[in-house]
Amino acid sequence: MAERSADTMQGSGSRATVPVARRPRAGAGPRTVAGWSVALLGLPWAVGVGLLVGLPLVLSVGLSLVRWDGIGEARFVGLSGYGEVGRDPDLRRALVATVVVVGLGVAVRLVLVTGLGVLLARRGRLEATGRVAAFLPSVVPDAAYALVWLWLLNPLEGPLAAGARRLGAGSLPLLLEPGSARVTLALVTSLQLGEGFVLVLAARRALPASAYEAAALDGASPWHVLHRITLPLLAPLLALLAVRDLVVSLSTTVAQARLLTDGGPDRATTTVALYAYEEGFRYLRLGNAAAVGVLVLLSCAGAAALGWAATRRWLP
Amino acid sequence: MVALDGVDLVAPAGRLTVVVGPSGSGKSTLLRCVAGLEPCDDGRVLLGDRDLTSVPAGARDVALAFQDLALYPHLDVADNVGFGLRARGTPPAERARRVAAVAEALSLTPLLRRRPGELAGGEAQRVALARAVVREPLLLLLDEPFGALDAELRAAARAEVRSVQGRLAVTTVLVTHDPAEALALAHHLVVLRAGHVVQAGPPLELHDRPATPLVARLLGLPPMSVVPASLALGTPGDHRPCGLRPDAVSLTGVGAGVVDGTVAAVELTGNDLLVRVDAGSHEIAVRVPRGGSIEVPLAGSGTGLAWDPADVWVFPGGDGDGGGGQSTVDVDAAGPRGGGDADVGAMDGRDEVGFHG
Repeated sequence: MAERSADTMQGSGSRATVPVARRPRAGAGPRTVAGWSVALLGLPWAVGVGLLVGLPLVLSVGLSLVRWDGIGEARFVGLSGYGEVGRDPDLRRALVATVVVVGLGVAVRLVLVTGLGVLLARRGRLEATGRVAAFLPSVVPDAAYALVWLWLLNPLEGPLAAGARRLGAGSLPLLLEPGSARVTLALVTSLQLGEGFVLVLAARRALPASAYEAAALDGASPWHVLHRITLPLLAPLLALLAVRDLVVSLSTTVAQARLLTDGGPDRATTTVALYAYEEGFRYLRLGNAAAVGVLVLLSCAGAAALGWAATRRWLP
Repeated sequence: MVALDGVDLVAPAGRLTVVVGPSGSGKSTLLRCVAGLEPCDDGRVLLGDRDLTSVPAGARDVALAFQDLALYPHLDVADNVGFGLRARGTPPAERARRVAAVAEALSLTPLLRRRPGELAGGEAQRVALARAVVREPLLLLLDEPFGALDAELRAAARAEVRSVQGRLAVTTVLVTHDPAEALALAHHLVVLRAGHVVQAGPPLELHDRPATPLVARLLGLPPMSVVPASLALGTPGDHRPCGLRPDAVSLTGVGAGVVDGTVAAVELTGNDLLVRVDAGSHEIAVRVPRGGSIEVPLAGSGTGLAWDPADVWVFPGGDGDGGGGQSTVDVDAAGPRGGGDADVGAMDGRDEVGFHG
């Protein structure tokens, strides 16, 4: 289930290659040697995507149409699983939690990725150290990362709470109240910058030095340079990163949410992905879980399409 | 590595100074030092009586048109041209007025709403020029401004630069590797090689009286042949380099001239033929009018060469290409702009550009 959104990414990328691989079967056949070799070279990839993405996708859709606890007999129920989760107030709460946790997380991560990427792009010892520090949280496995934060944020024994007590700020129940738990979860996950940081670094370095020298000669302030040159030139990449991050984050906050808050308090941090996980593996309603998964997949596709349309509409 | 060593250079106020030199001669470094984009390890940059050496690039009131144009792809022509004004907080109305004026002068008005990606090479080059002059800088620097243009557009762009420079009377330093361009544009010409000024002065002076063989080879169209004085003047043991203009040498029968040789090649240069003759260890070029009475020898045949010793040019600078600091340039600067002797650099109390690595 957690793999679903990542699958969508690969699925959308497969459009270019799949027709090539399918052509021989369709009977038309690539007429040139080059066409054949492209089809041949694409074959392993197409087989992999078919087995690891296409097949589970088809099975999930099938699963969403049955009632099954994973042990007993599966019973075909049509779309009633969708109706059932649609009427569940917990799913509506999960939607709100998703908007806050994923929305805030993606926004903060985009700001961090852009700011740090632009600041640390220069070649220097300080910048190199900064780059390592900024990327380090991303290479820590999600579970280990969440456990470290669980200790840091522990309201009784954690160092943050101890620091707060020493400053006289009282206890620091960040994960104990619904609102602050959502914000904390969003901030903690947003610090895992991911490869978006590397992409911004590379993109900033690829911008021509003369554009910046021209701005320097024009006496442009750093702020002017940032918002009139750097950000507009990086905008296509940032738009792409935002959409991609949104799609990925819809599924990847599961581990952190499970370990940090277990969806609480009062289901405040139960995102849609975590809701689907619980439906399937805690309450053994695999059909309903699959239905939620299909809905998440469709919203991801919708978000990607919107983002793509916006990029085409507003960017040069 | 020292890119510039003992360059003393004066750019006369209100005139067009061209710095010419082969690639790697430090032309661009010189420009970047003056612009403040590259730190000077030593030496000074003076603009009028202002010492710019430690002034940041943005506060120098110097504009540079980059070799790669450096236009912002996401801004249209009007915003590209107005970028510097906007960065300096010029009011929008004033900015629009000045952008419109420059656009008019450079025939960019119909292109103001286009993005750089939609411009032809010559148009983009004019935008880069417009962006540099719109601020009315005290000093305008042009780095290989015609490098990206094909031969046909170059002539038009050259005229454009000359007319804009003349109209604004802005002190301008242009660097190029193209001697034809340098001779065509310069009021004041500086030949740079390996970080040294080899010779500087009015272009006619440099062309007619080159200080060194390098200048002669660079600026001559076609260049002089360089031979030792022992051959050119018939003074045995004299190793001073001398220049023989292709016009000053004539073909004679074998044994009838100063020296005999073998014709290596015959080249057509417009109205003339250039005959390259192998004379011992030297190659001597001879200009022969096309269709004249002189019979042009075939490549491989023997010929004699004759010249009048009075026509031989003896290089005053020897065969050196300019050593550290020996080639000081000093040109009168009459400033048409307010207080505007926009001389660059100062050494020894004179107004010059000075770089000593």
